[in-house]
Amino acid sequence: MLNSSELVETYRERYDEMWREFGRLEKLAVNRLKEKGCCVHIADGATEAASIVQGIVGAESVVKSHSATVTEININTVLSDIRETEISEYIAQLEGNNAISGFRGDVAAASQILNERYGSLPIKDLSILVRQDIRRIMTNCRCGITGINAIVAETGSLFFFETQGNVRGIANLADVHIAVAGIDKIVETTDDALLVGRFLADQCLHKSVGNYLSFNTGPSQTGDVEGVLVKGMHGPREVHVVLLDNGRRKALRRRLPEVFACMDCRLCLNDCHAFATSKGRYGSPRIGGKGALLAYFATGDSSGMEECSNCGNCARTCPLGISWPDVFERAGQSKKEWISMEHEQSSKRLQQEVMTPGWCTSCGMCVGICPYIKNYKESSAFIHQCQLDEGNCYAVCPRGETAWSQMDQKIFGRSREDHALGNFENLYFARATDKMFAEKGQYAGVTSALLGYAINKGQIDGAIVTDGKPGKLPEPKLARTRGDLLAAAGSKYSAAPTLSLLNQAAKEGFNRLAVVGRPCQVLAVKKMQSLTDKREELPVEKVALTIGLFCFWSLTADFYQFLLQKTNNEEIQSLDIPVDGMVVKTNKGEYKWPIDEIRSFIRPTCEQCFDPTSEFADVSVGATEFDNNWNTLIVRTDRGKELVKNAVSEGVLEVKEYPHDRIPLLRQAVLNKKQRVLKQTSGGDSVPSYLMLNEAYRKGVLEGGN
Amino acid sequence: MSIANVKLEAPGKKVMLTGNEAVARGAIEAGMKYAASYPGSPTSEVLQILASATSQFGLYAEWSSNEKVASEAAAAASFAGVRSLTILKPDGMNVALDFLTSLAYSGVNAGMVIMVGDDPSAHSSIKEEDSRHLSKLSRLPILEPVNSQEAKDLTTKAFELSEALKLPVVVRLVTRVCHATSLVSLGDTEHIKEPVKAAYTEPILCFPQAHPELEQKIRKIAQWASEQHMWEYLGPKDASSLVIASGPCTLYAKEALEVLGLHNEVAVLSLKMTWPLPEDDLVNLLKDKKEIIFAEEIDPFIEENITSFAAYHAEDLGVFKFYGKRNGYIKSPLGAGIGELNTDIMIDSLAEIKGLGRPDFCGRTANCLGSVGGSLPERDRAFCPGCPHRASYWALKSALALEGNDGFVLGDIGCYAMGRGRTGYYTVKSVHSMGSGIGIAHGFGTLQKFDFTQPIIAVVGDSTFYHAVIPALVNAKHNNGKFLCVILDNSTTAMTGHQPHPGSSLDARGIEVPALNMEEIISGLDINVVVTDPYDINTTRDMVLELLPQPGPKVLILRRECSLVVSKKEKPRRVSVDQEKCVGKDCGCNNLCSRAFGCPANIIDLETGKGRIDEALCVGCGVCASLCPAGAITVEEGV
Repeated sequence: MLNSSELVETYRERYDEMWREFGRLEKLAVNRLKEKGCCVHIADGATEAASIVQGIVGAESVVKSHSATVTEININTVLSDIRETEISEYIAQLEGNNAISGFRGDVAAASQILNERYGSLPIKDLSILVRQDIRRIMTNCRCGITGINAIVAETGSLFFFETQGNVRGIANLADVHIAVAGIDKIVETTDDALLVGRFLADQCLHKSVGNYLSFNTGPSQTGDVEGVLVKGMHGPREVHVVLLDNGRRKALRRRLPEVFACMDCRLCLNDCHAFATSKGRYGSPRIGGKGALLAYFATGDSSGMEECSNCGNCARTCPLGISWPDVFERAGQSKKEWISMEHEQSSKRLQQEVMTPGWCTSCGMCVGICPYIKNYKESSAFIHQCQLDEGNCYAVCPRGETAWSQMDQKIFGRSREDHALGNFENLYFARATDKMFAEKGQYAGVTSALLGYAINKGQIDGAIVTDGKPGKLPEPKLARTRGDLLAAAGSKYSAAPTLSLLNQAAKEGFNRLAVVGRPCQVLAVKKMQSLTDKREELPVEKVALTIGLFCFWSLTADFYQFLLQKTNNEEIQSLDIPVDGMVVKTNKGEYKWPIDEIRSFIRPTCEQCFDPTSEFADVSVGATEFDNNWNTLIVRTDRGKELVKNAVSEGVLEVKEYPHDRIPLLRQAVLNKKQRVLKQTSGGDSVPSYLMLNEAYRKGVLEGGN
Repeated sequence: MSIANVKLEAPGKKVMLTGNEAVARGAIEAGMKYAASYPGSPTSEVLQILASATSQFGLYAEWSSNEKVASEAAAAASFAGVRSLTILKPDGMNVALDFLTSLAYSGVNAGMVIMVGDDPSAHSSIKEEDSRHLSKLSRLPILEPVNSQEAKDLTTKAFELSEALKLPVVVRLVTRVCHATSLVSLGDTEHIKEPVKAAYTEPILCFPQAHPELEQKIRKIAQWASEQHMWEYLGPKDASSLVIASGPCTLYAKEALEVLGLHNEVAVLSLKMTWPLPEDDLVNLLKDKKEIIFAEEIDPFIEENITSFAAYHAEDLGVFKFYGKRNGYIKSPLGAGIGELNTDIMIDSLAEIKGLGRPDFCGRTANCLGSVGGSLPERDRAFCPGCPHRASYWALKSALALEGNDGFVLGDIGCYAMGRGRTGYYTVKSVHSMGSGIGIAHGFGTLQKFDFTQPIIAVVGDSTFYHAVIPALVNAKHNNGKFLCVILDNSTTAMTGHQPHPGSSLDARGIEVPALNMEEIISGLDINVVVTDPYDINTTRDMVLELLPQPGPKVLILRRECSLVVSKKEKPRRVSVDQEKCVGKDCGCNNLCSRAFGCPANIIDLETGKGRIDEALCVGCGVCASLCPAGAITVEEGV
């Protein structure tokens, strides 16, 4: 028989083999489970898993054993009558507490609770009554919920390891058995499952084998009597297996197999500082480092990881030596590792996570750096597979995975306090003193004036801007002179792949470019500039200034068709969207439509946008929604501050304090949008990967505070 | 192999000729004066040769716009008393069939021969089709030569037979006979130089009442075949086993029997006329035979006719043991009836039939190929360097990806059919017959009622346009099928060897003629037509995207001369890759020019991973330079 260290070694080796083949094993397991008559449910997130269970149970009472995964899906919130069968959870329930990790009082406290329920009796007698009650509960419920210790892919068997016997009790007595497990519980063979059992017995009980080891394969059935198949003979008639992802796949993609190797022995919690100081709630709903990590991958909530005190005790107590602080670092906190992960499967992820779901913002960044991505009007697509395992396109995509707190750290060196407007230094009303800019610009010509100033001063040698006549699809343009800037001035209401010019301009020898763009375009540029890896392939050092525009949405190209029809093909001279709707001036007159009429042309990806004010730009420029002679100007970075200061002192720009009574209006407008986006994606299941917010950021937006 | 040999006026001289050349020579010697054809491999050369000999022998030769027209033109000459020839491949015979089935009923006047080149293994065809079924269906007799000499002799005989019976006669060759070269003894050409006077005096009509007369002719032909000895018996008279073979299979069978040492045991009956059968002779020839083995390409055509014949004569002939394709004894590695036969296959088959071990000796085709095969790299079919089709497909594929609604391309036969493979980025999703892409596209384009929303593009060649596309466009216009027809106009019939077509300014004989203008034809149908240069990929792509959403049929002509024609001219430009600028296999390129675009002239330097130009192959088109993301590829003019 293998001794402890041999068991650890064998287990480690097997796991190392199995997680690399996870895709195959998962498919095999699902097929086998189905073959054996189980209903298999695959849940991406916790909420989905809980509602699957709810759908099976309905309003009935349900018996439940202890399971970290069942806890992870917050089953208590969807089921009305759960009867605990694990002894400490049973006592906790008697206490009137839905404690997620069982009863935590001492023996005296437990006796007191039991005495209240059963009368003052000696412990020996109490235990008989408790036993009878739990038995009675188990036999009286139609449905039962358990976890699973291992799912055998080869045979479609569920493997249970326990000491009390309530798991097998439920799994055999219930008519409908619902077994919930993370996809990490899939192993290849029955030997692997037994290895898990041996390992747990050895490490947790210091025994060579646990009290109860069970393999259940499909619903109970027999054909022994005259060959008639009877289902649910001695055990369940239905077996439901709920396979939960909830961040596990992402962890695997990030090469964090620890999530799969950990088998929830919970030894790491014994000396865990965070667990102790949180009074046993660390990582919740799933307790411990694994819970904290999964919460991050599932919902972007990094608070559990941040709570970790980095003491490293877990690594010393874990039989496998898993160090959760180390895993957390690799998951996102170490810049270097984070970035190299970002380059992996780049084109595949861009296609799957951005293009296929329709989240592409047509910023043009990938089009500019990749010859296989092309753009026509507002749509971008891969025209050929690049077949590289690593690349830049996903890492610079504004709709690719974006950790907002990290972006703040990278660009401003600090987290944000203002969850509406992001990090900034000053907030102004501003206008160009150059009358031409002021007239040609949408309102007060601040963007054109700042660019003109920077060109004159030699601070930039060109500006990537968006050009286009009113009423025509806008196009990217490289502006070099004041004349170019004048021609391109004015708001555009649909997306142009402006950044597609950036790389080309850099290759043509432009060294100090300004980029004027929508918030998504600014984010793309800043993501590129924040890369630590593969920088030499990109025009990282060629962007000297970013001017971000306010953008609450842009319109699809179909809008121009609408415009043509509505204006009877008249020549469109100007386009504006003041507060009350759209105003179009043509050579023959003026047209007005309420905003609702053009709402259907808003690009779906814009409804997902979390950044209406270009939070990572050097300066952000927008309308005032109030006084058309002024722009709103948010100065964010040192670079922006210096530029505005000089432009003002040299008389190019005129600024005045942002009216105090208008600040709450601006902040509320932005918060409304952000909150709408967060609410659309609440629950964590359908969070697009670009919305990776830690809890502080999420709360900050939802609670609207600074 | 020499066209000059075909034109030699030296009776009795023995010269080397291909099967195609021999047919041309045979036709000339038989006094054939009128030839019409549409190019198609393996017989494209025949009309080319005749066209080059028009003045010497007083012939008329034309490339017709399609095979049906060609057959009709040749028939007219025959009606007017001028011996005529039309040259087809099975696909072309399908096109001409509607006319040919009627022509058998009406009959002809002067001798008319239809040469068909079948293509076992489909070396240069869209499918493996056995045209003999079509000839039999049309009630036209079939002659099958073994080699070049016989190709010439049987062609001459075919004219005699045709004229005697007033019925067109088919001479069926297979690719190996068309292209293989062997000695031919030339005949006299003096007698054919007298001027021919064409006149149409008697009406030649097709009507159902002609059927009994036609069947009468078929029975006469069977008799004629016996009288004329349209077969050859080789080997021992008393052999109980007989191989019945036609065409080159006769040679494969003879060689195999010698290799196996069975040539004194097993005889070979080589049929020169495979339909109708020389039934009177066959009764005698098959007497006392016990085993009959069939050797023919493609379908078990003789096999079916002989087994049927034997069943009718079972009382006299007894029961045979048959070995053929039907019971799987004669089979290529891919199966019975699939692919060419050869001596190796016949050796294996005969060894199995005779219960012999299979000899493994040096010199067998498989051994020869095996000894060199290991060192040969696998090569995909690919468009030539600088081929405009490659650029066209890159643009089409890009346009459809950007359009984003699962659009697809329908194709047909031509070089551009390779659009269905790697070299065309797997863009083409359907290939059937000449111009079929347009009819299919029209069908898709009228499915809107059934929620069909995918954009449709059909590609055709310029020669195909004149061959089969115009009626399909007329239909699309009338019924408003929504699709984009892209004409890949490389100004020639490229796949078959650059024959002229109605859009060319030279005819088959090299005489200048006014070229048809396809834009005008299309505009005449009131269909929107745009022309651009496929080398300009971005413009092409944007044009496709602009045209696709427009209602009804639209035509985009992508016009660029075939790069093989260009490569024969002096190379005007030199293309090279700046090794400093080339991104190579890194992100931002990953060898776009060689790996993705895939022009054979774009190669990778394996040591540096960077791109280079194979100057021996490059025709200087510069398309790769326009695609290079690093601007590393430069084109120098006039080098």
